[in-house]
Amino acid sequence: MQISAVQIDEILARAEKLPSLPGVVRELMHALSREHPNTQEVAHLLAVDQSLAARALKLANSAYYSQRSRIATVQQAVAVLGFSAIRAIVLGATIYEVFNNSELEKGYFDATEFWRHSIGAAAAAENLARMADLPNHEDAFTAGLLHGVGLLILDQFMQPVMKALQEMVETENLTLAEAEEELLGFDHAHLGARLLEQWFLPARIVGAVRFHHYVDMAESDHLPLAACVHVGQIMTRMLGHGNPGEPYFPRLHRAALKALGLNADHLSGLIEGIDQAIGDARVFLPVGAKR
Amino acid sequence: MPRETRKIPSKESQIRRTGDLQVGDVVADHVMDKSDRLLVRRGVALDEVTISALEKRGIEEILIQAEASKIATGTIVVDESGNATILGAGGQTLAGARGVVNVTARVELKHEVERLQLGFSRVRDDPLMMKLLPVLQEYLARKVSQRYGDAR
Repeated sequence: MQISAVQIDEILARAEKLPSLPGVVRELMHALSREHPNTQEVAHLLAVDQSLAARALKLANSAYYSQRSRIATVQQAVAVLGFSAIRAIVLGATIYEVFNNSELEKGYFDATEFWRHSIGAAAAAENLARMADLPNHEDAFTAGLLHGVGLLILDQFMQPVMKALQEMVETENLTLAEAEEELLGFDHAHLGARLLEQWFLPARIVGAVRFHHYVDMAESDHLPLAACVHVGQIMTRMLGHGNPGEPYFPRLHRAALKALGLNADHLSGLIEGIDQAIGDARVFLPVGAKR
Repeated sequence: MPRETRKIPSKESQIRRTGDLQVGDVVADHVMDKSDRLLVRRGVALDEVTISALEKRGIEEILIQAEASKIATGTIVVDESGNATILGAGGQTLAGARGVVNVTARVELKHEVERLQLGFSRVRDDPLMMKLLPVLQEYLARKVSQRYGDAR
């Protein structure tokens, strides 16, 4: 079964139940995508959705952010967390709700394992971005969090394809991305990137998600962030934080390591710090996902 | 957390002169001094400090497990039954100085070893990836040991 790259749109169209983002979330994404987001505007929009506002307040008061005084208002929470963390909370909670909709058929993935992997990749990618002194290290967290969203689409809206992919992984000793390329002509990274474009995510995050498997194909603007997600998600797998639905570890791309100024010795030295960062980031797990 | 203790099964052993002992040699029977005080318990993997202490105490030879020599700290040892053990800091086995085995840690470690082995099975021709494997094994073994205690 060969499906051309053009048919990514058809897959997205087939996912009729896949939400366009809820109104308030869409407005939040718009507000957060501006070059200089307005704290008041973001806080106001966040306050419209009580569950999102409560999550922001809870996270701002958590040990992860270790504030000396209690954060009592949504505006204070936005100031403490920063716009990238707000984006991560909003998208994490929304996507989790969307893909755990009881009306959808149960997919192949264990949702908790998938989210543990996504949060782990987010924390690891951010850690690597800080280490590499990238200016947009918080974007690395968001890109890491969302890097596998294309898999969720395949898992819940293209189940015959997903079944075939799983069989290819088992019988032909392939990674999921390799099986997707062979069967579909594109991988879940491209599918996920298209969805994120529709959801008004910044181009730098979309680019990092799109090229997190094939880092050497990323344009120079997207290369460092894609490299963070690539290395981060593989390190997360190696450290045993969740599973995106395949047993084998992909190869670390040399172009990704080069972009971050790393070699195997550096990576060995980063293992403990990355593992610690992943453990700390469990506070970002969506409500309902087991910790 | 359920725990179970049991003695390490005795293995084929051999007498070795103290001057010939190597770091990682595992003591096959309790080592006592002339006053019958216990110096080293059965099951302990020797480190440099302990070997030196045995020499200073005038111990001429001890019984060691024949097959357990030259195992580096942090090495994960998986026996024929699939049970996993590590050598912790100081060369002691996860089984520990008292010769007990923390079953929870062993099960967890076995799971980690199998997961890593499967994960790395497609990239065994990649020197860069394979350089990370022993580092990850040692780190995860240390983490498991810290989480459950190593009975020392």
